[in-house]
Amino acid sequence: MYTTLWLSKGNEIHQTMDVDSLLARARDLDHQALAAIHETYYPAIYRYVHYRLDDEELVEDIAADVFMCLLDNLQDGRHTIRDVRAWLFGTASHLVNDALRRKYRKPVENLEDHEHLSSNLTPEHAAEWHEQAWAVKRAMRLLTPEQQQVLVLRFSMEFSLEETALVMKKSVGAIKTLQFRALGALRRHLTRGDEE
Amino acid sequence: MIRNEELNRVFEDCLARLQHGASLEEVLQKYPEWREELRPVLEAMLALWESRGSDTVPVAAMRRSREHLLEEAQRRRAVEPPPSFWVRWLRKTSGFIVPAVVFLVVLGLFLTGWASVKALPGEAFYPVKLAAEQITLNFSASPSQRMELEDAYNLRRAEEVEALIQRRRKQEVTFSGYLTEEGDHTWRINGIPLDVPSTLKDGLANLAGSYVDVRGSSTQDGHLMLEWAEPRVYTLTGKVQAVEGERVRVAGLWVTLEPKVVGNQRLDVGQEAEVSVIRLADRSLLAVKITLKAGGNNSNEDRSGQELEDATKPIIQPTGVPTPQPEEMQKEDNPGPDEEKQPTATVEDSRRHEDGEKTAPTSEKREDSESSSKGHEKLPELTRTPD
Repeated sequence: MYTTLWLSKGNEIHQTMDVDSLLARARDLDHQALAAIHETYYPAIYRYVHYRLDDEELVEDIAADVFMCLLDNLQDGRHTIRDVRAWLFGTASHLVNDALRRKYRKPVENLEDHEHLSSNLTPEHAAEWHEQAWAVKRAMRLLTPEQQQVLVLRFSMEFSLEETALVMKKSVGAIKTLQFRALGALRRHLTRGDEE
Repeated sequence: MIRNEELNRVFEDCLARLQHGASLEEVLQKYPEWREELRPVLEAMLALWESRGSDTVPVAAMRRSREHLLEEAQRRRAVEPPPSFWVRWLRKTSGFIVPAVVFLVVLGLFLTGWASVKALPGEAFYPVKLAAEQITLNFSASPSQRMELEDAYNLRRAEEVEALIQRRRKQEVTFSGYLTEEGDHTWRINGIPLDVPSTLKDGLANLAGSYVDVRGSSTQDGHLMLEWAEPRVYTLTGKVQAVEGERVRVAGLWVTLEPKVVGNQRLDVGQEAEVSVIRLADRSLLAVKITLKAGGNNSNEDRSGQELEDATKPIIQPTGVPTPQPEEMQKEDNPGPDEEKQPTATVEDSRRHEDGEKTAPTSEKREDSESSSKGHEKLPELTRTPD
């Protein structure tokens, strides 16, 4: 696989490099390569974990742990990473599932103020979106872990069918069926939530 | 199934249209027959899309994660690089691997030894068997212990020949034992009947009753065809320890002498002598050659064997002398008070002097053969060759 990443240093230098050489440098604990990988994938990983968990601290811990796992894997050298994005999301998915198994908590609204990367909404819009997002999230929690995973990957992270199949280790056909059923279930839960 | 596939295809098309800015109603109008199925699903999908904006990434969390990652990388770079996977695997499993390797080696040696013990001449493991026997012989503590081992191994050779004959396998063999002739003129060695070619019969008669080395071939019709036979000759070296009638004791062993072997030599106690002997079926030793060395009572004479046939002064007294007992054959290991004063004597296969080869001198199968007297009457020739 040959993927181009945009490597930034400060706000001045931008260069491109293929993922394989980046991973090779990261294996040698090269700071620049590790920082590039982190900067490229952290937001998506964080969002993915946040879609599936409500505990902000736990989300932050798991997102950070994903990259520590990457560091361990690179140094271990036992397994070759063919698709770093799929590998990161697959690892995140495992960590989330482990966290859910250890401690399942009902979502608790967290009203802490954070400085957000994409926080460019007015307070009114933010409140409206927050309410809608909360309803979706609540409905999502009622789905099975697989249904949650496929919906987050496909429609929140905008993964293709093939990428989703790679992360979830399923066939494309199975992903199509799973996502359709998951959306139907989500719709039912959303409707039920509106009625309540 | 086909309906599901079609629905999936339509859904993917709707998804693409929505991503390109089409409204939900526009998309549903394109597929009126699927409207009922598509509407709830697409509405759920749009709700998901719209909720994406609320999942923003805290900058502080991203910074902390980045710093943690780089600090860990810095820490790992400062310490010794971790060993490779295989090195760690070996370290982990060394506690198991070493005993496993030792076990496999021991098992391999055991299986090889077990297979070689049952091996017969001509089989793959037979050289291993012979090599193991040779090693044991080399570690034998004393000449007598070595002779006992050689006897045991010679008996093993005879058993191998019997096994080959029973299996009707054609194979050249070499072994040792007492040669006997039974009433029906059947020649046997260690009880194994021999097919003797007519050209060898006369020569074989001269060896009757003695301990011989033979070479032959087991045949596919269950016989052993004799090809070559030779008496096993030992050399005893040391001082003459006793003289009783027709017997003399040298190197702790009683040896029967015949006048024609002694010739006109005078044997006295204390003389240095070298005696070549053969073993007879009654477990006695018969001298075939005696040489008195310088420094003895008759040091000027050094004549022996057939050269002394015309001797006029026999010194062996023809008195009734008891037959040497088997215990006396072991005197070498347990010498009496008299023998302890004598210099150390050696018992060795004479052929080792000649060509350095090691051969087994004795057999445990000793027969009280009636034909033992023949050995006294006839002087065996040292070598018999059929060709």
